Amino acid sequence: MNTLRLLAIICFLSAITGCQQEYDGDVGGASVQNNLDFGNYNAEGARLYGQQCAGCHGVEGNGTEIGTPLVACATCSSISVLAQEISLTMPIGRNAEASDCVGQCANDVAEYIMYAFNGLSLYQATTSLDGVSALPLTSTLRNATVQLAGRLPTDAETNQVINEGEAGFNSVMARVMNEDEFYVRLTEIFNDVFLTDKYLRVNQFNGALNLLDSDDFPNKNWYDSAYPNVEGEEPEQQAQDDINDDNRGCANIFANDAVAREGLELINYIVRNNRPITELVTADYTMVNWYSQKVYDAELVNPEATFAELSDAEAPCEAYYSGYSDATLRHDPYDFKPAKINRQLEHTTAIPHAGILTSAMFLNRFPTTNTNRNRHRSYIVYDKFLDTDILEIEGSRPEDAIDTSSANPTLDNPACYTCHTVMDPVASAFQHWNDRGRRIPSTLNASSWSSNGISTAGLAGKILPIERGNSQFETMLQWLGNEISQDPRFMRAITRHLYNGIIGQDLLNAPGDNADADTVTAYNAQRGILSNIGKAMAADNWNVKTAITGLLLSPYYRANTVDTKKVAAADHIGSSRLLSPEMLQRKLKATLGFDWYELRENDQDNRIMFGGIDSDSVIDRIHEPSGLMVAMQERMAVEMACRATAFDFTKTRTPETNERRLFKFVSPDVQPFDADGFEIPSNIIAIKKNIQYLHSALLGENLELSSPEIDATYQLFLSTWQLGNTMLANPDDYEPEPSTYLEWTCRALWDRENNDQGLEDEARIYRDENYVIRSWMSVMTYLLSDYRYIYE
Amino acid sequence: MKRRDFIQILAATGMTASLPLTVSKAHAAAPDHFLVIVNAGGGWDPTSLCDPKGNLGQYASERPDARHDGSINSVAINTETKRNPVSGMTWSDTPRINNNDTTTSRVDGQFQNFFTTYHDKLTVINGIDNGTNNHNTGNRATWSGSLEMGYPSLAALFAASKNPSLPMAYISNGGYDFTASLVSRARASSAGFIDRLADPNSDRYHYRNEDQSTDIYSQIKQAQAQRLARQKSNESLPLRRQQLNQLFTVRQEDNDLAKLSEEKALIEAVKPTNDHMNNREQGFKRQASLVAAAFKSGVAASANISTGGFDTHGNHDNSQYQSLGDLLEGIAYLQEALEVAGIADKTTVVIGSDFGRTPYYNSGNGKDHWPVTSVMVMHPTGSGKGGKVFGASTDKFRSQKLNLTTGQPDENGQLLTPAHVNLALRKELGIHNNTFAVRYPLHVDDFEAFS
Repeated sequence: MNTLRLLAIICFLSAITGCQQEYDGDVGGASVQNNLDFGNYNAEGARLYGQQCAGCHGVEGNGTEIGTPLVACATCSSISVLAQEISLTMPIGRNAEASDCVGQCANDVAEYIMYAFNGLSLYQATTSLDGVSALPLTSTLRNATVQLAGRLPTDAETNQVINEGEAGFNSVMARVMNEDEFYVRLTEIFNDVFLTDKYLRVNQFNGALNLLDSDDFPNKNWYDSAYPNVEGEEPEQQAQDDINDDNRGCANIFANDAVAREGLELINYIVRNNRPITELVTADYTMVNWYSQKVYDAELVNPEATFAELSDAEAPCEAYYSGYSDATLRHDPYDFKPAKINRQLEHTTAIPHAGILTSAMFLNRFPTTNTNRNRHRSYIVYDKFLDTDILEIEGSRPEDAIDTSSANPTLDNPACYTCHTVMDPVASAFQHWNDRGRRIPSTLNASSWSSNGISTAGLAGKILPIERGNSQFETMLQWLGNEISQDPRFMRAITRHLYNGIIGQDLLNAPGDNADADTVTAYNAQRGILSNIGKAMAADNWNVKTAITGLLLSPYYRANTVDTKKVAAADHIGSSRLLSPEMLQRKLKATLGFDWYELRENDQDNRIMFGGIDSDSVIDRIHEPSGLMVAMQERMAVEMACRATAFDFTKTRTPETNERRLFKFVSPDVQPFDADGFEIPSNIIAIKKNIQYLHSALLGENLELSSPEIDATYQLFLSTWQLGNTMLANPDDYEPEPSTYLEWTCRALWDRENNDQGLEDEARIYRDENYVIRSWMSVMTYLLSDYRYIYE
Repeated sequence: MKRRDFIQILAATGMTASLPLTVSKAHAAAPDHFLVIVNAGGGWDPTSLCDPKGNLGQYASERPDARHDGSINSVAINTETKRNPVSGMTWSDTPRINNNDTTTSRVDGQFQNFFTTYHDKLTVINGIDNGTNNHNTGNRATWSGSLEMGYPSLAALFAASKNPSLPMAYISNGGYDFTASLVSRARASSAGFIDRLADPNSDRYHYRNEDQSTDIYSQIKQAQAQRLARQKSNESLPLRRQQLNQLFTVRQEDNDLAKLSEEKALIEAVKPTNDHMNNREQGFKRQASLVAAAFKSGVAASANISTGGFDTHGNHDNSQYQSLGDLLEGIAYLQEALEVAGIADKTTVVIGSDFGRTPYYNSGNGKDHWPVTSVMVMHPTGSGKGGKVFGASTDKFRSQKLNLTTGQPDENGQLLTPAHVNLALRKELGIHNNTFAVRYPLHVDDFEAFS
């Protein structure tokens, strides 16, 4: 849609709403009012209906002489279908320009009609899409727990969903979203947005601490003086020196990473405590752990609070890096608490926190220069918090994009100020923060800010009171954060980030002028459902968990089949996606109990090759596998099958206790044939039953025992077993000579789930004399490289 | 598994009818032409490289506060040693960098070596108006020809046109690499690990005898292929069907990663990646040797090599020239690697950036964003092309209307834009009529940049 048309639509909407505000850069075509009713019906739709529709269809939707009833109307099957009908045909007659009720306008009206006259509940509005069938809720539960909590659902959880349906699902997910592992995933989702993990130790030495100014934070390297080198040759002195060395190195890393993560930990804190996600831009605190509190000399919001300390068995430094075995530090580096930097810094008496907006990590990750004047930060604010791509406003540029004749092109030249009118007020709001993210109020000589040639601070046509000395002037990012939190686009922005994270796709782009009807329908449907999920979140005190549950129950996550006669543009429906390195690691841990060495955090290059990001120069994840990635997947399958198979057989399996993850129904002596070549039916059933279980546990595929897929997997087991036994019976015929011993790495000598500690001698498995273990290794390799394993 | 074996398996299971279009024999062939995109990330300064303007105080009146008396460059144009008398190709002289003779001399040598050695295969295109000062948009415009989102990069189009199912058809280590799903990107960031990927069962966890007549892993692969074919034909959700098709296509190709490792070792034996550069970062060279090896071994058709250090808002001379010197040395290394691999006569290298930098220095001695830029194209050895400058910016480093044929200033001509450059490149690479390229048309007239 070109800019002129957008402007025309927005002007039209402004006219019919009596809205006085200026164009605010909302290029998504949505309504621009600031007073959305987040209840269970669409207030904007109701208002539009009253103005444009009620005259013909009646206030109650019962129809009039000139308009059909809307109660159970022909196109009232879903919001998307109705919105499409409105887009194409409504309103008729009386107001020619009203045919522009498309996009969000049509969607709002459709939502209202469905709620008011067709009894559509919010749940239905967000969970159904005509023509799309959903996966069973138990399958959705499995996918959700693997993705969000890095584990399979328990039997009790599955039963709760079976017995209680959606209510049970919501209940289980509410618990899942209190688990620590969920916050690992949440951190990933929002790091893809804010990219501040660039500053973690694994990516840069002191990447975060180096961004803090020493004059503001003279104790930022507090660990150097807290744990100094100890001179002397005495054993006690040397022992203390070793302790200090490890404490110093460990505290350095934990302090750096806590500072790097302060923005993402703020999100975790908000979500964990069911606080409104608007605090992302309004919180008057930041987040610190024990190590970073000392960096900032920050005050805990709750002065009575204390940081958790771990036991010797959980020693955090050694857990991070085995070389820190002498460290005595025990404070939990993952225990973050809200705190304020409430003391005199070089140029300011305190930090007036405004959520992530005032984090030095955010400000450095999206930097500015003296000549850029925070405009890049403004672009980022619009993109990340207001769901608006300022660059889309570019419209038509003049032939020569350079203007050196105007005194202030961004204020005077129409080709420039169309965009700058939107961008510059937000840029101005960052004027107290310099290019390094340091607070230097613009009124001070030390500040390089000049108000010449740039608009005063504001947002969406609203101007910040500019008098110096005015408290809002001093704290204009807090003012900006508050304005953002009340802007309806903030809801869309958060919902979009969650959609990207949970569904694994970008939202559909707004259809262009010449888009076909199917594309428009798909766009309307997605926008409608996402809008309702966002409203549900806002109505629930902006609780992110509500939006996540909504997304998990939406057709975009649960789609199983699509009737393409009803939904023609359907390539975006469904949440199946190639696993990122982090997701694959989590899935391996969930299903096998341990992950792949090659993708652990210290091997960033391998992660990037596997489609991951480094939050620095590589920030786009790869969603379509290259041959290189497929080769990595295949390597992973072989290596993990080798390590997991014999190891699982070391776990207890008795009639009373079954600790196996993989081979719950068989032991290594369960062979399909006896020594004389006769089938052993009970063994074959046990083997197939275990295969059935593996298809379910590893692939989320629930198959009947008689399924051809079970048989195909069994045939692989059988062919490996037969070939293996043939080789073992005739070892001289083969070079190298086959052995009853497993390959070294595949032997069960180490506890894979506990840092590869050596297993007790009696538990160890060296040999596979009947080739059963290696037959299961074949099966495991086959399943771990399956589409359903490497996609989720 | 060999592709023919795979087809046989499918034939045995009745699945050949479901083979995707991408499995035609033409596509299975190794590419006969390769493309490398070199991206100078952050916005380079053409006036410090291939479009110098000298220290003539061009902006003295308009920018009285500008450093260096409002000059575009801090050094004069050196027509003695920095200009080719035949083509008129001119490159920047070197200002004093970091007040250090060694550094200045190193950068000067990098420039001199590049332009004198490769002048004859180089087309420099000057005076391109990118129409934006934004990094994302500029990058997109330079490498796709479109300011709007949704157009694939030139290198993605090229790889899709040559053979999208190669294991690493399009190597991208950053820069604009949107593919519009025409081809998968491969990030070849861990060269050492690639060596181990050639054979997933290289450690013989699954038994395989010496002559490979008994190979349990091949049984697993066969079962995998059959299962994937079944999944593909049974899947009803369009998204999953599309993913299965992609996986199916990629898996059926021969994996020549072992050959890649061999070729890379051969190249680096002749041209070590850690040569000279005086302790500067060698990442570009490591990328270059891997790209050359991937082309040679037939697993890739195109590549993005991206390098940074060009967004010099402060201390321009000290940073920009060193980054440019490293860039030129890296490209020279790439050419040498391509020569060693014997494919320099089949490889086109295109070098560009997000946009240009201001024709005056700011108060921090830096240069900010400016929409006028240049692109350099290195033609395949022996193509007979090169030694040419096409297009021109004004004396004040502005864009101007240019003659479509000569590239010279012409009031009746047109502004030269990334769309024009990309159209000319598509034609030069022979992909402009390809079905993929046709899907992303560039509605502009022809500039005959390479005729």
